[in-house]
Amino acid sequence: MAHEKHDVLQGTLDMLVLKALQLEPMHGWGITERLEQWSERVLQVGQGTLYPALYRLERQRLIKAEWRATANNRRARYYALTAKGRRQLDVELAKWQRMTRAIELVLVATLD
Amino acid sequence: MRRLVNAWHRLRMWLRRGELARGLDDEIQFHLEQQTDKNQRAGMTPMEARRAARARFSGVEATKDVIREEFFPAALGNALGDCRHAARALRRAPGFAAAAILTLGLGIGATTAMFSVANGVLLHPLPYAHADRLIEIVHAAPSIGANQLYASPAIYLAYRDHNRTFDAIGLWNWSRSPVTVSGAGDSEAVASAEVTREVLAILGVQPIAGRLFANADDVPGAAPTAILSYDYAQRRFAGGDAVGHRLVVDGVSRDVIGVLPADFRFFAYDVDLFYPLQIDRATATFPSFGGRAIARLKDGVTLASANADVARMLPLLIAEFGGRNSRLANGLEPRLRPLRDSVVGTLDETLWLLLGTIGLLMLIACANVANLVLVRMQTRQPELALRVALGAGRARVARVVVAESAVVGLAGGALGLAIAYAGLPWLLSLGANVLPEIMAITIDPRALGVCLALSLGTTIAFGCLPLLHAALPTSRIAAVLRTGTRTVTEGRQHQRTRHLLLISQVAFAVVLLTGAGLMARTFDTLRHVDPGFRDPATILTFQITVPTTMSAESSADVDRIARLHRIMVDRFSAVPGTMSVAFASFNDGLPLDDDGRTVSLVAEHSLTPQADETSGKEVQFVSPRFFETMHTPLVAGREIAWTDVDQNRPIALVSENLARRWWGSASAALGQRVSARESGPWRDVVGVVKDVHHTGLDRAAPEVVVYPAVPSPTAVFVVHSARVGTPGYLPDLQRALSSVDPSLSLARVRTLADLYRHAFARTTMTLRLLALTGAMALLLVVIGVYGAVSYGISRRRREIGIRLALGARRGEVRRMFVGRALLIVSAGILAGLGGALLLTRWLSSQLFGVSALDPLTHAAVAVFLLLAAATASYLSAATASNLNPIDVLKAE
Repeated sequence: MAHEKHDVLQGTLDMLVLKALQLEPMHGWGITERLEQWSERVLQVGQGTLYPALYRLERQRLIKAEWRATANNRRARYYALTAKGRRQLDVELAKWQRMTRAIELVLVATLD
Repeated sequence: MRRLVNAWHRLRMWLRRGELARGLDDEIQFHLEQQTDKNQRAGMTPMEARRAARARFSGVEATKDVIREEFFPAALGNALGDCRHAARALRRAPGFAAAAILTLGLGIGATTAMFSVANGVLLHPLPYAHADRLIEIVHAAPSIGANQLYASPAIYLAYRDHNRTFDAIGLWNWSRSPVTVSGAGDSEAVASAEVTREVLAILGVQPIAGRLFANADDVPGAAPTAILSYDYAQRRFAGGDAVGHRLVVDGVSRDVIGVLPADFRFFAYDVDLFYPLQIDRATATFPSFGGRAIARLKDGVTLASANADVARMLPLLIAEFGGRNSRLANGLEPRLRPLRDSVVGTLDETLWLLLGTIGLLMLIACANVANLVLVRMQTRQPELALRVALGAGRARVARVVVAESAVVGLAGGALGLAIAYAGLPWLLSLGANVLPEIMAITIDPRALGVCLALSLGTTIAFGCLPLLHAALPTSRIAAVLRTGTRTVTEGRQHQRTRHLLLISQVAFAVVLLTGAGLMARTFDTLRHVDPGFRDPATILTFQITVPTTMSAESSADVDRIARLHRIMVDRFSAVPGTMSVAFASFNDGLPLDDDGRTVSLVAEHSLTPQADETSGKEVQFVSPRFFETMHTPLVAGREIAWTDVDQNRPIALVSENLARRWWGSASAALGQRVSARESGPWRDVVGVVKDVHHTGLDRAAPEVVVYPAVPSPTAVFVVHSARVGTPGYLPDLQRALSSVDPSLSLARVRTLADLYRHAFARTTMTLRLLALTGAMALLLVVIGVYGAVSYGISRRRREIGIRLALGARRGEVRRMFVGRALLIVSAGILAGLGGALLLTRWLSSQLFGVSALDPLTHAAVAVFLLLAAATASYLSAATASNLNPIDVLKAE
């Protein structure tokens, strides 16, 4: 039981990061901010796990990184989705929707 | 293909690893700055903003490490990288690193050094060929209470002729040592041994020049020959060829026929000159025990069958050489013993004891390290959890733990090696008077290996324990990650393990310290034993051997020797600063030299039945003023006078213990008569002297009978002077001797203080080594207690913070932790006292005047250890509880 929970958690974080990068490239802090904002502060991404996740996604070549200047001219590492990353995001989203739908069905069923 | 691409990618990252590492630092720095800016905009002060940003990140360094290790190929799959990472992690935990490395270093170093010494002496064979087959001929006569009788010419001849179990048997004797060597160069006293032709061959020594003794050399009347030690040949012939030269040895001109190798040692003796022991079969009689015999057993012969062989030969020996009516000869039993036992002697008891104690020390060190590592892994749980969350397998996490253990273990091992090498010469110097020099003692690589493996194994095993015990169930990982560091609750099982380790550590230390305490009390008791003399540093002893021209002393020789001894006493007395001079005939009469001979003695009338007098009395032949010079008090009567010596009057002195036993008091002894036989001739007892310890302070002073000096070629002189030990005095004495006869020299020059120290040597060594192990055990326990308390506090920082915030006093908090630690230590002390009661009995043979169960020592150790633990835990609690509750609560 414990193992599946762990897998879901990890898988979710990857998906959320990919999703955050869907519109535009962003730096790590931006990703945490965006996720917080979008989730109306429900999701708090632990930075201790975010950066390892970024490095892992980069190694899987789902995202690529480059150093750029920010709006107020500070150097930051920006992450962007690769083509492979976009495909992966679609796959993940589809998977997630199947999953949530399945969970919903179960919850509805138990309400009877 | 995919793998190839992957490899290429990794290679690129590896090439760019410096840039990547800097990038990671910059990136996280940027993140923190952004968060800080945001916090500041929300109204925090800059400092609060920074702190909050860091707190939110939860473990900046740990995150960096994990990323570096998981993603940067330099560290990936690379043991060196693992270790480098571990070293970095350890630098951030200097307290743990220092304690663990110090513990391991001390444990490994001390254990290795001491094991090497004990091993070198106990387990190494003697440095002779076929050492396992070499034995010494020893007999016992239980009926008269003699259990160490050696050999004689008669015994040698009988066993040589009739044995079935020996390859060879040889007889040697060094009672005539030192001999005076004259001829080419100055005359000098040289340590010597008389040997039959077999002795050197049995030891398997090959001469580096010339030859060993052959059959022709030890026949009576053969051309006199000699073999020299390497050192002496170098010294005497200034590095030139010695073989073929002649030396005048005690007046006999001898051909040097061989030189022995430099590394050859004759047991524990420094013999420089060997010459043939020529035995005249016609004069050999039995029972007699004037010599030592060694033999090499035939291949495959056991000690038991050799003993049986000797038992078979004893009747043959009596048949040829006499003793049919002697109680001694008929009661004789063989007690052959391995030669190494003769050399090592009873030292093995001491050394086994020390081996046991260092084993305990190593156990303490291991327990300490185990505890430290357990604690360390506990505090690293958040980081390890992070690794698991990142998808690192158990094996990967285990590698992190193993790498750190390995780094600690290797550093500890290196420190241990340094300690062992630095400590060995010092250890050997402690045992200088006790350890047989014959044994080459070096650091034993196996001992080092075992210690290293043991400590590494402990470190790794206890490091991995949290992993094996599912201390990181995945359900908890999320909790660990969420709450950040240091709030993970410890498993009950680990807490029990830690307490158990601390308890056993304390218990072992109690055992060691009790041993050391008992030894210290023994030492103290021995110090207070009256040796029978005073001011030993002002009393000098030396041996003088007057060469006799023939092997059997003629009456002309006897007169000459008596005259020379009188002149020597006069000349020595004339040396400025000398207060009194005396001598004892033969080599006997010195206290505490483990030397001496016994004679049978009976009293004409006594309070005890004389038929029960089975053990011999120690005998001395002394000149006038001997006891005055030795500062041995005269209890009753008078000392021997010159007229007694000159006229060989039938008088005797006895020791106080003998006088009391036989006649009730010292004064009652005066006028009594004693003799060697019940048939007389009788001697009048004219004086009683105080008891003197001859064979060691821990043994009762022997009963002694003293006769007037007789002319003997070798005599031991005693000189009392305030000038003893000052420069110039010894040359003055030597000049005085040369004025008597220029060919004479002083030998075996020692003060009574030297003999006294020597008598203490073994006790001193045992005491020092036990004290050393005890001190180390104490140090380790203190480290252990300190660490345990400070860990306990660090684990409950939040709780302490809350308590303090709610108004608890720091003192109360400290007392809580100190109290808990002392509870555990007390349990350890109780267990240790139980262990000590069981174990210190092994120590009994080393003790004197104190019981192995001595309650005072046990109590003192318990109190002392409790105090040490209390101090350690208080200091630890004081340091660790010195926290600001605001900080703590904020950080959570």
